[in-house]
Amino acid sequence: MKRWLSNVGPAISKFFFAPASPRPLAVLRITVAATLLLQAILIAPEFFDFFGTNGVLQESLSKYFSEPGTPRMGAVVTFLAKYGFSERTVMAAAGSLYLISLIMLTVGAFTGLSSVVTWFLHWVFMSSSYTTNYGADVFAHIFLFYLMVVPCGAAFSVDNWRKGLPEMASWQARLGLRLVQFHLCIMYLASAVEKWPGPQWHDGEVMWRALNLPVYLQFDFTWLAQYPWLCKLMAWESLAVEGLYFIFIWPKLTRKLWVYLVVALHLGIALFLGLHIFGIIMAALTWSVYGWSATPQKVSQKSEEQQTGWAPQPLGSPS
Amino acid sequence: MNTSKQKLFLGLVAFHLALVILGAFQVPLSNEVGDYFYQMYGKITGASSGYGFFAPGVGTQLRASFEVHDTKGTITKVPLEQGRNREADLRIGNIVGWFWKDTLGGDAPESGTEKGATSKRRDIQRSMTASWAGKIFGRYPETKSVVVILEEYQMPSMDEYRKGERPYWTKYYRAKFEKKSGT
Repeated sequence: MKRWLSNVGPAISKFFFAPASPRPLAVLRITVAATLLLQAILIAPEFFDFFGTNGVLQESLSKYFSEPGTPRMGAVVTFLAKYGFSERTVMAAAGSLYLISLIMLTVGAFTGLSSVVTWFLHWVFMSSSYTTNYGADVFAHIFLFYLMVVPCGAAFSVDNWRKGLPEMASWQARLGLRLVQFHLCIMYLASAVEKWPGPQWHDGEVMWRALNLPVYLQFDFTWLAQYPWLCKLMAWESLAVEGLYFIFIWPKLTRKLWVYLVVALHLGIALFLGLHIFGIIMAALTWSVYGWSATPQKVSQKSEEQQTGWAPQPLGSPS
Repeated sequence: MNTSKQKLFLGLVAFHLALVILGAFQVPLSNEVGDYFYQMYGKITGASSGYGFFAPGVGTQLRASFEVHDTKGTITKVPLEQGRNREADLRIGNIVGWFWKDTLGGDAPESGTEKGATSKRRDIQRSMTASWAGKIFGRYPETKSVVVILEEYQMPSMDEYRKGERPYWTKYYRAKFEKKSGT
């Protein structure tokens, strides 16, 4: 027992701090930022309608629906109006800055700064048009926050190229990776738990309704009424993939399968429910932090041994 | 052996993930001050987010359309969505969906209807439709009046569909807005 306990400490320590490659976090950065860039381009024609004070919802209503205590575009516009800036100028500047920061974050240029600017402006736009938001925005906000605090610019980045730095494994990358991985486990478990009491999930009606409601309708799926067992199978498959994610995403034996299942589930949502941005961003999250190996290519010269207790050598640690 | 820096960061990660669990499983905090800070932290980090998408099931849909009456007496029916792309239209649909949310403000006494709704709720709904009508007036300058029509989609179950029932739209709300003279 004592011997077992003496092994637990180092195992936990290794799990959270063994130097990891920054690649999974870099892929997370690239996929999230690139998807948001695509979303921004798609929304751009309606920019003033969504975020302007005379948009589809006028400022007073938009403010009424927004979450209190969050930064809003309307407040910035009102403040800068005192200095002679028109609403269109302020909004165009904020929108342009958001696009620039997304491009910089995607390519990993001044990653620290661009991650902060992107996260903040995304939050401002989200709060300014609260009634237009859906799942894609919620996840973008969560993972943009993580991109500010994890070393996501340490691989596949202009920063590395500019400074002539090689990719360096670090304990910060490992801890950051664990943070994001655990968040995904919690999220999928909670999602399945919330779905479980719904009778529609048990008899498959949820699939029939989702695929045939006009808001999600992409193809004619009315033929599914003749095959209720197929709807039931799809519903139970979704519940199983989400509810068992936190178990089967960890072992090497099942990880690849679960990554494929999750990616397929979300690309299916993108394709068949027309939730393109949501589907892509969700698939990207699991694909980047579980689908990419965190086994270090090189370990930092700054004596990782001193920091972590492990010699700087390629590790067969849990990735 | 871990450095104190590593221990500190591990503590922060554990604290953050504990808050993520509270948010994910919608666990309320009984302490008022704690709840205030938790809500603020949740807004900044997203830690208080819930993940009940399509839970406990998929409901139905509300759509908005507009009868545009122009100065020549012509009536044209137009949607709020501009049809530019799926992402933009989806977001317009989300705005319309707020019209019948329980969290709109005021009370909606009967689920799925607005019968007997409080005056506060009716005022908010009126303001929403007025705002949308304003957009339509802006898009079509020759418009004399706009009738906002909200319809609810009636979706049969698989069993009902097999028995011959088909989906249809029912009237949910209607309001008319006239352009003030001189505007």
